[in-house]
Amino acid sequence: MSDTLLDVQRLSVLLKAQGSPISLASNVSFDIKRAEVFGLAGESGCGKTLTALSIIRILPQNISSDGTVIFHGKDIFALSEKQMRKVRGRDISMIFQEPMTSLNPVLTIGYQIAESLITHLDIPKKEALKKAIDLLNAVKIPCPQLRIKDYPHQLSGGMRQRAMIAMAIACGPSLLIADEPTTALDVTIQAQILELLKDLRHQGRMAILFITHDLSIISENADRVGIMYAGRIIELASVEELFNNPLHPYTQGLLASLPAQKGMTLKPISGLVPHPALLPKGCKFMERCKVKAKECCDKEPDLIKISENHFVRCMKCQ
Amino acid sequence: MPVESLLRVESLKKIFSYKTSLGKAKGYIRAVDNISFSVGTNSVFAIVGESGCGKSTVANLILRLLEPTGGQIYFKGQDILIFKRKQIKEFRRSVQIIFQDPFASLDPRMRIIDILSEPLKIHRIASGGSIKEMVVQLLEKVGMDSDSLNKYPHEFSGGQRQRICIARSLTVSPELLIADEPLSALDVSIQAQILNLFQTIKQESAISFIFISHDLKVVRYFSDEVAVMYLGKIVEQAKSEDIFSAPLHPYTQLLIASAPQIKIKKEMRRDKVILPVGSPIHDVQSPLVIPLGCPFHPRCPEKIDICGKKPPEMKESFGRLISCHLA
Repeated sequence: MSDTLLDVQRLSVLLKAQGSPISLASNVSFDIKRAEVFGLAGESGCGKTLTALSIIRILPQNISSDGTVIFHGKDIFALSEKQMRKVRGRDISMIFQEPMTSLNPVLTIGYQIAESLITHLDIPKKEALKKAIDLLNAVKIPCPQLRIKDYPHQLSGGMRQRAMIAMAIACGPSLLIADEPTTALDVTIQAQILELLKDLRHQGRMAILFITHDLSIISENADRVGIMYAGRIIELASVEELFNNPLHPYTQGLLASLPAQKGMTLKPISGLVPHPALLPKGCKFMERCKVKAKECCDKEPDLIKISENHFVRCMKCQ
Repeated sequence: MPVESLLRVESLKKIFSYKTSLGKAKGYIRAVDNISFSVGTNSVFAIVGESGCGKSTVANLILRLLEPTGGQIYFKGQDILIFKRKQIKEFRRSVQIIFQDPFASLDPRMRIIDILSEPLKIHRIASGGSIKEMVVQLLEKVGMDSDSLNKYPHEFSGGQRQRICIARSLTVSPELLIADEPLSALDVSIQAQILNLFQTIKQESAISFIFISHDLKVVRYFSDEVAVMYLGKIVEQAKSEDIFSAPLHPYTQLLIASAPQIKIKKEMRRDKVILPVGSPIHDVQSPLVIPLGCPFHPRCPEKIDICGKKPPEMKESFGRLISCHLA
């Protein structure tokens, strides 16, 4: 059996608009191995979340996706909605940035966790609630036997995110998609949640697709990383390789933008992210690139293999 | 103090009361509890802490957007709390604020030229044709061109809007700029652009900053002095280099240890200094129930007996202030 858990090939995401559809992501290809943490990083609007939503097929109605997503050898896009419902929450689950809006405010935490056990694994309700206590214990919520009767508003932000994680891991998924899971949390709570995810991954042999804008979180938690810009993966590498040897001018620019030594002038990337409907013809980063050449305007570069663990979408690296 | 500092805050307090749904007073929140600090000329004073620690309340108190429950605020030696309307208006020429969300702090129905000329008119800084000239100069100062004059806020990105907010705060040539999480809503590459802009403003206009942030990387980079707040109190205050190279208070240590950093080698990933997970005390403390004794003691890994009984006093050593029984 191959080591690949999820294989995303040439994924593109289109927004239906008046006139011609707008491409929000294009030609996104990557794979995630079993029990691996794969980071997807980039600035807002680069297509990270849309990529994730495409994988579990919960895109809004006016957005469609195309390409192939193979999970456990099954073609996700070929499944019927009924079959897909069995995959979500059982084999692939997802946690979101804002735990308050993703929990149901009128149901208890315990019931919300038990629900996926009842639905997917056909466990009787009483037993499912018992299991919910174990799960809350696993995500280190104190006094779980009392907490299962709590409603989401009775928990703090960090607790809510823990409860979300308990729901997500209830059926023992092989892939967890974590979309900015710590962005809304305070830094000390963020550290706890990251630590928890690390533990769960080691225990459950679960792979994580970790979406974040924070490169330092990637560098501390991921095994491999894809950097996205304007709906494309522009660099894909092992974490060590990416931070030691960033090749794409955008990745270099992102790293140079981070405040380092006091008083030194920062070197931000000039300009703005282009609007998805007004992307340049050639390389999408061209307008902001410091090292652009004439050929960058004509043709968009492919994601080129530089070494075993390093792929870059840039003319300069070919 | 030989020279009067630009801003001096003494024993500042703000207590909010909250009510039940029937309007009965139910309890009190000590949002800001007896804090003192001063901000020098052309320096950056940072306030850091987690959500709910009272950082933004301090900003609102200094601007007199909120009335303090107790304490004094002196601006250039003058007690601003006894100011009457006219003096407050004058005072607000000297002190300006930039908020976190550049989408909520610009009036969507006003063009950029109107947004930027309003303070000029209110404070009678310019009139007639010179207004437009000044507005264009301000826009240039924050790195935008005069094409933007007739546009509305929605036509700009977050970073550009934050530039407009900065330009607006500079219209009245303030001496103190309060920046309340000015970068949190922005992407990294844009954050760097705005930080550079702040640096330039600081150098060119000799402005002082009160920089409120939860992002320690940015604070370390930009600030001269740092105060760490926890549940309404300052727990540690020192020069920025000192705080980051040798944090003394256990809370400061926890904050710094929790902040993720870029690790270029896998081996460099640290074993985090994190408190035992899972104890009920592990969460951020709600400001509704402030523990007896030291406010941080329920989460403190080094607590001793006295911590739960008596609140620590602010102590000074080697030019640093710390409020901890262990220090």
